[in-house]
Amino acid sequence: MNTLTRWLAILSRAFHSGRPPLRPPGAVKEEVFVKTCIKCNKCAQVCPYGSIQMAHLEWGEKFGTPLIFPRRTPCYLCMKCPPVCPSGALDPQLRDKTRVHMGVAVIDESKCLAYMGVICRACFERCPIYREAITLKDELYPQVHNDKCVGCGICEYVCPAEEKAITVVSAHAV
Amino acid sequence: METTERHFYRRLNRYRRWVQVLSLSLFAAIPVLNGYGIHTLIGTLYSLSIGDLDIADPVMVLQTVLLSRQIYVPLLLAVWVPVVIAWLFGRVFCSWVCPQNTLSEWIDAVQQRLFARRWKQVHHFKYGKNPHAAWYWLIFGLLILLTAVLGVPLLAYLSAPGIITSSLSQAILQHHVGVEILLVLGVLVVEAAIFRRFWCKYGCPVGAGLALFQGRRSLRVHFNSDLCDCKPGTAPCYAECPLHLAPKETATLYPYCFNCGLCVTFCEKAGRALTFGFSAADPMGNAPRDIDSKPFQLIQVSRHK
Repeated sequence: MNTLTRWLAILSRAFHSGRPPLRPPGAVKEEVFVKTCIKCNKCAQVCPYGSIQMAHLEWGEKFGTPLIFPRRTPCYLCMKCPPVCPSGALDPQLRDKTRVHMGVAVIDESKCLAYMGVICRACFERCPIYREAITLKDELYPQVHNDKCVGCGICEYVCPAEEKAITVVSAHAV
Repeated sequence: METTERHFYRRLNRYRRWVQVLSLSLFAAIPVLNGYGIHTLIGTLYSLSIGDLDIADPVMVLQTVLLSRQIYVPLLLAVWVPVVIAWLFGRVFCSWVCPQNTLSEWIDAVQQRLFARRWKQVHHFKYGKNPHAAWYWLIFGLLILLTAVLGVPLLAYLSAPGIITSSLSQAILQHHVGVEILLVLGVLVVEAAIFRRFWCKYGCPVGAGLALFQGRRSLRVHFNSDLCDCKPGTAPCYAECPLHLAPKETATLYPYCFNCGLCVTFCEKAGRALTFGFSAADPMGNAPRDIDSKPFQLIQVSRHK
């Protein structure tokens, strides 16, 4: 029962947040990805953080493909999954984490603590593309640089605001 | 030589059951080891990696090619292990490794114990013919056609070994399983209640994908009618076959037979008329053209006739 509720929670998070989950680093274009992925679970098995979840049958044609829900566990860009992909759905050559493009983080300034006058640098400090993807304007206000942001979701995960002020928009229409 | 062969046939199914248990535990062990950071063995029965060796299910590769309309060479090369095994030994993957078949066989065995009397009425000495091979290929062809036309990974939904091993991995690593396991359970329930072993016999695309690579020289069951000393009209080997095939009709046995060897093991106690061999059977489906077995046949005939 516990597993069922947990599973439903993951599901509802995916559907009701209204935002598609992320694909692992190195994923090819979504429509190609769905058709190329061989559903072998290897990426989820090598992920040391348990970030990768496999889509179940209710995902229809996306069944068996890997998903990342950043609010549950973001991607820490260890880059272990692209080389194990046997089907080329994840680019096996990709080793450089700065060249990943899973999505782009977006800050909602009306919810961000820093913009509301509280000193908060959670996203800035935890961003793996440090001082490049997220910078602080006037040493106070976080700003995302779309050309540098890889969309790993760590900022969204660590955002302490009651309602997450920073969210990652998936590069894939999952 | 002959005694070692007999010895082997007698023990064949004991070996097979051990391999089934070991492979099932292996697929539970893979995610457990992965959880401890050991990644020498990764994957499921959709695709498996042993160190640097990639192995992929030929049917899943076919599906990927059909859906994506492009060929990824490393994936295509990864089919060589299953293809070579199928080419040499037939569908031994199904009978020795596949967890779906293992579960199905266990359920069968339980039913056989629980409902011994009814089981005998239904299954014992049932004489029959093998279905035409066309049905097998028709079903497989239809699944492939549907996959290509609908553009959905139908073969992945229907790959019971893939679903079972993926669910095991997800249950161990992520502590939840998906609804797809109901497909597998559904098949098992239907098999137990209505159509005994229909999935492995007719429906499974994974098995059919391996059967594609069976050749004329692949391992197959041979029947020597001179040696068969069962009463006319009786055939305990038919009752022994988990897939309800007629092992004596060797000409029509394939692609349905997955070389589990239960009929051969059983016949070892009877006339030794059923054996495994690599040579192609003659069109009558009788004795193999195997000169080496001749002197042995004479010994057997003098003992039994």
